[in-house]
Amino acid sequence: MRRALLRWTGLMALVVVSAVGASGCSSAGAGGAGGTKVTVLAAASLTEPFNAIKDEFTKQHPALTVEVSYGSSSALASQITNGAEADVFASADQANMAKVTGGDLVAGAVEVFARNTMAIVVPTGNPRGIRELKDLTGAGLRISLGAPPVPVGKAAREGFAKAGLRVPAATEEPDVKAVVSRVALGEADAGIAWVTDVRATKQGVELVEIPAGHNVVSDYPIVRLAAGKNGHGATALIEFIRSKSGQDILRRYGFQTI
Amino acid sequence: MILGAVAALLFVLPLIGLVIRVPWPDLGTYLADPRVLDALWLSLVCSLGATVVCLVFGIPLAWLQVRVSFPGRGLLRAITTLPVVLPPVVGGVALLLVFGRKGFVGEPLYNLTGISLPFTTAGTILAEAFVAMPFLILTIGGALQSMDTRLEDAARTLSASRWTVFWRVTLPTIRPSLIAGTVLCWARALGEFGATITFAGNFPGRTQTLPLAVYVALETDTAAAITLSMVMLAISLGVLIGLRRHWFGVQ
Repeated sequence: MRRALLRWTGLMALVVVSAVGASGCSSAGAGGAGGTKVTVLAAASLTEPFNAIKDEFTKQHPALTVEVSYGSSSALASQITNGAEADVFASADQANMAKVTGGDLVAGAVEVFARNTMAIVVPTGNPRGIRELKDLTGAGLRISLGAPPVPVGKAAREGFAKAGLRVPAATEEPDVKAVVSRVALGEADAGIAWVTDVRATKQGVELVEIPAGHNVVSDYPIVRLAAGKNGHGATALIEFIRSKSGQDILRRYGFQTI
Repeated sequence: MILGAVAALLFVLPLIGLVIRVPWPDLGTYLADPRVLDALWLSLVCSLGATVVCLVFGIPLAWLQVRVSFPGRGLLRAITTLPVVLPPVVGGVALLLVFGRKGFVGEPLYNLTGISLPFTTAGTILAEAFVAMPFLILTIGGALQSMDTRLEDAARTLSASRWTVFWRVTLPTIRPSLIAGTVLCWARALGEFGATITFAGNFPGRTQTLPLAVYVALETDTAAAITLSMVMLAISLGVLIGLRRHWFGVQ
């Protein structure tokens, strides 16, 4: 009996090991139903404005419902190239949009609907007195950056290059929210993030602006996808996002509008 | 039988999915990439380090939980099993709140010594040990519970000290479970992702183990991510096949 139990525990453990081993990936919210539902894949940095846009849009179009799945733009792009059934893709940069526009995956033109700029994120009260990019090279500072392939990590390195600086990172985070949370939790003394992500963080951080000369602007493109079942709804949503009401919402969350 | 086959497919198909996408001709190039070698080396160092930590502290804890009766023993058992079911990311956050620079252990430690575990290799080892140790404790605890204690009693009547009994009688008796528990613990540490990236961050050569490298590689280079995954699969599968006799009684 005990032996059996032991063996069973071993098996259970084996299952858990293999299940937990590769966590961290999310799947697309692919909805099959056509007609009334518009399925959107959107960059994680769009979470707050797109939730507001969703509410406002469905108020104006009561016959439609909108379902948004948020994730890093690169993860969403690979979901699309692997056949995710969605109507609209909103990316945080052109590089990830370019991954889906090559073939016959998109229906319609790619349009830029917002812009984001970089900022230095520091703990509330700015205890290390950081005023500009150059201050990040100070001895003993722990800096949180995005990993080089992540848009915010790539942009930060471009900014450093423009300013002629070498800033060593303490950690290379997989997405911009993680960059900010390192600072919010006090593990990092500063980081480089998009303005909107710093503003969206409720506690523990504030932003230090980066002058235009050293800043990097990221264009946010949007496109209708060919695999979607609700082309009409998708077009209406994209039009709404580019209209004054949509742009007002985006501006409220710190985006620069078109 | 059909249901069993369906279940088997659930495990076999993803494996096939990976294998057929491996860029075999470029395998050598990918594996020789210094970042891959760094991650592989760091993974081995950290997982072995975590296993040593687990053995040094986990065996006494398992012994304590089985052989010594004290109030709250059941609760302690539950708590030490928790990382098995807890999402590793939550475990990582919990570790940060304790050992982070603002944590209630980490802050005094940092102020006194200037040592801070997050973003260090030691932090990676701690995160891996936290997640992996329960597997060792569970396996050894089970063996301690089911072993014939009369052997230990006999040794004691022959005036062996407590330490000698443990070292010469108890450990050799539970040897198969000790080996299985150690390997299981090591394998779990090797595959650790959530607690590591949350607590120790991600920096090549310092805290970026193979699972983290896979995750970051997925952002840009799917082929590299698949190749790295194959390396992990090969290591894990090798270990599990080596252990199959223990679990399934295959001769």
